[in-house]
Amino acid sequence: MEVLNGFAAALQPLNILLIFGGTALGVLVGALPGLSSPMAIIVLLPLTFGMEPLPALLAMVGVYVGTKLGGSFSAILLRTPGTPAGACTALDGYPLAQRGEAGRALGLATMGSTLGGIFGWLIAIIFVPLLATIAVKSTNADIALVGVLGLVMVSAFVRGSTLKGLIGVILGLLIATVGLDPMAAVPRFTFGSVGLLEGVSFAAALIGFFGIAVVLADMPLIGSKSFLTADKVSVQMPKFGELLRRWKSIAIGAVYGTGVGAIPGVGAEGATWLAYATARNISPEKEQFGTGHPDGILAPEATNNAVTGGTMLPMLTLGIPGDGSTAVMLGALVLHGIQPGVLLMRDESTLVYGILAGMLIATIFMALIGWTAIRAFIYVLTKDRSWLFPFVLVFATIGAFASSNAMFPVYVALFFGVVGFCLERFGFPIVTVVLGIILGPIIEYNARVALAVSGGEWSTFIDAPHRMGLVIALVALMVWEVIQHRKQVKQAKVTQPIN
Amino acid sequence: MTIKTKFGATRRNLAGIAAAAVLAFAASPALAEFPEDTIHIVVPWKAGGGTDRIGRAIASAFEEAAGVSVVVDNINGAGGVTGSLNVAKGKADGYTLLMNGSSDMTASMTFQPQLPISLDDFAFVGGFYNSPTWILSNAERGYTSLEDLLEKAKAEPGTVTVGTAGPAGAQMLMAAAIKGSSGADFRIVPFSGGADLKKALLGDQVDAGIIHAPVLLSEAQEGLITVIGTGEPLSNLTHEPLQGIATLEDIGIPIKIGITRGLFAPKDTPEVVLAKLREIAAEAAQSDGFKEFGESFGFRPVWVPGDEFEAQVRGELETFQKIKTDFID
Repeated sequence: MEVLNGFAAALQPLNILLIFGGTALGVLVGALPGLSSPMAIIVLLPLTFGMEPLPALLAMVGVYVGTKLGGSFSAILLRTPGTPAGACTALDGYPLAQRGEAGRALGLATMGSTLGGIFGWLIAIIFVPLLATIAVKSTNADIALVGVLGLVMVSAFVRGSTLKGLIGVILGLLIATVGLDPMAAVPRFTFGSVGLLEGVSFAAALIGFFGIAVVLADMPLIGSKSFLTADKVSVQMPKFGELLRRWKSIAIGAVYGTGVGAIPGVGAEGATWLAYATARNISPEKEQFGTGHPDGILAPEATNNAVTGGTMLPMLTLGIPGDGSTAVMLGALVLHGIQPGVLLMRDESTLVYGILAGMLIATIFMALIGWTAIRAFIYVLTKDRSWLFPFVLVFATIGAFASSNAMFPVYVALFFGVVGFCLERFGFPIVTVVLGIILGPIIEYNARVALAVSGGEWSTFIDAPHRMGLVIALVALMVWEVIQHRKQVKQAKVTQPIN
Repeated sequence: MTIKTKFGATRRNLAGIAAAAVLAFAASPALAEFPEDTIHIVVPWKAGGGTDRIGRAIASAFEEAAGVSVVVDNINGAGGVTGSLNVAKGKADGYTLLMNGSSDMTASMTFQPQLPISLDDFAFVGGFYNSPTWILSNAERGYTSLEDLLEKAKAEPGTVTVGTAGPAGAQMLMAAAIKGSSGADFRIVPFSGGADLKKALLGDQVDAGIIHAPVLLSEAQEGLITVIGTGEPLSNLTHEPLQGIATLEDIGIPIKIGITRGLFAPKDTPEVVLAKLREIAAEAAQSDGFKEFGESFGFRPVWVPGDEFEAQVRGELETFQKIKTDFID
């Protein structure tokens, strides 16, 4: 079987070393806020010129897998995600760390990532032909519907005023309209600035909201010599029994991650938020999400590692990248003389399955590295905030700059840092704004292309069984949300003493 | 007395030697070898894309020819404008160059004339990789040529869809030019970029798509995708059977559209340095290493010397502007 050939190829001593090195580098790069996976892979690119294609790609895959865990570590400890994929983990990871259970949070993240990565991998390998077909047959209409579904789930992220949450989303959608109109290429809200022509850089906005805003918000604490935690923190890997109990969150993550990753165009970042929202919606303890619920860590973590398996599929079966890292990897394949495309699986099956095997090996290495590295990361917590903040700001600036090697995104990040700080002060959940920024362009572009292809016929959104299904799910979800909200309001009234 | 004479003579000699030394030092900047330091080639696109790959390949050939190290900087944004501006406004000492596609630049100047960038901001080192823009269709659709497609569009107006790999690039201009000069009524659907159009073509969601060659070459070789037309002759294509595909001019649409990747320097770069850059670039473009890259990428490299390249690009800008006024505005 080709899978076994792939493993045989990947398990050569040099390749194992490269996978391990890549994964370790990935965890480190991921943990540093601002540095991301595509950047690290680009730096590796010239170093791999002298290698054969498989070792080169294995090192890159290691980095790709490692950053997904590293990014979550800083999200949990500093509320500043090391990579965009880790942002969702901060929602429950940071509160858990603040309660003195940082070790547990990091352990959950590690195991969630590992299991999500493994199950996602299994799904990908078993369903390669099916997923390849889905990837090709998926139309812009499908992607638009998935995007709207995500938007409807936004109330999952709102703690407190639903109105403020919705305003946050609309603000996010508005921010997302800045830039060139995706189909008419006419500038919108750019105020003549060349820097804004490509729109608000998502990486910059994220760094601003989650990195700089955090520093601004916690600045009053600097003088008081505060630590993030004074107690001795112990490393706590979640017990097997607990993971078994919480299998649903991990499964949701694995399925969403692989599925969303396999469809180029939806966006790997959005997948973690969708998974989180779904895990919350089906949980009997939904009000606890956002205060440190373990499922709130397991779901996004499982997703962001399953996504790596998912994005590999269109990359290897169609030659279409699912995100920045896979785009660089495709470039690497070409530079090594391999033509990615529909025929790669057929012509270079050992290479393809070798890469996929390497991904599984990298996931296992990631678990080991994560487990040993947790101690080092907890050390960070015992440092005074006044040391950490400059560190975070420096890396945030580096990250914003490196996102396109220009100063403009840095200004954008600073701007959103201030905006985010103000929004939080007034009780607006920044999370919903981020959701609007992520989903806005996806929904707008795909809906418009879908209508352009169909000639303006709106029926294109329901003219296939799965699309009908999505629309029904959408409507049902909206109705359900309204009912839930009514219930909540009633309960609040009932428990309110009558003045 | 001998000492005096000797001293006198030595002084004159000394003066002579000193004068010669001063002259030599004064002349040395002109004789100093360019390049002596690392050269940066700015690729104004994200890493991993087609232009980036070509950029990295020429950068490595350039490194060999120049004898100094060459580094690629990806400065993306605004459809290539951010990186281009960065080079245009940078130091004109020959150590920072721009690598970009001719029609990427001219198309963005055509659609957005308010941008603070123009061809006059650059000195043209030369063009080294040319690929036409071609029209593809999923084999399942059954079209064998562009004329087929136009016939269907004329018979059933408003039903045929042609996607473009970008809303405001050479591909859109080509679509508009075809639609305008043939009079056929088909719907132009602008996709966000090559990757999305590629997916739509593979998934048979549009009748045809306009994209830079050699994207989807291997699928075309296998017969999954049909090349129904091209903006410029495909004679440089490495895959022989497709070299003879009819161009737009062949079927009566008098427009040539393709993309030539080239190297640009800021406009005030000294002549001496520019001449040296052109020499190095010519060597790099014709090197075995770059030829090998071309073979595997899909097209054999070309070398278009600086002045010719400049004339070509300026001509292209005029063509594009004409297409826009005739068929789009």
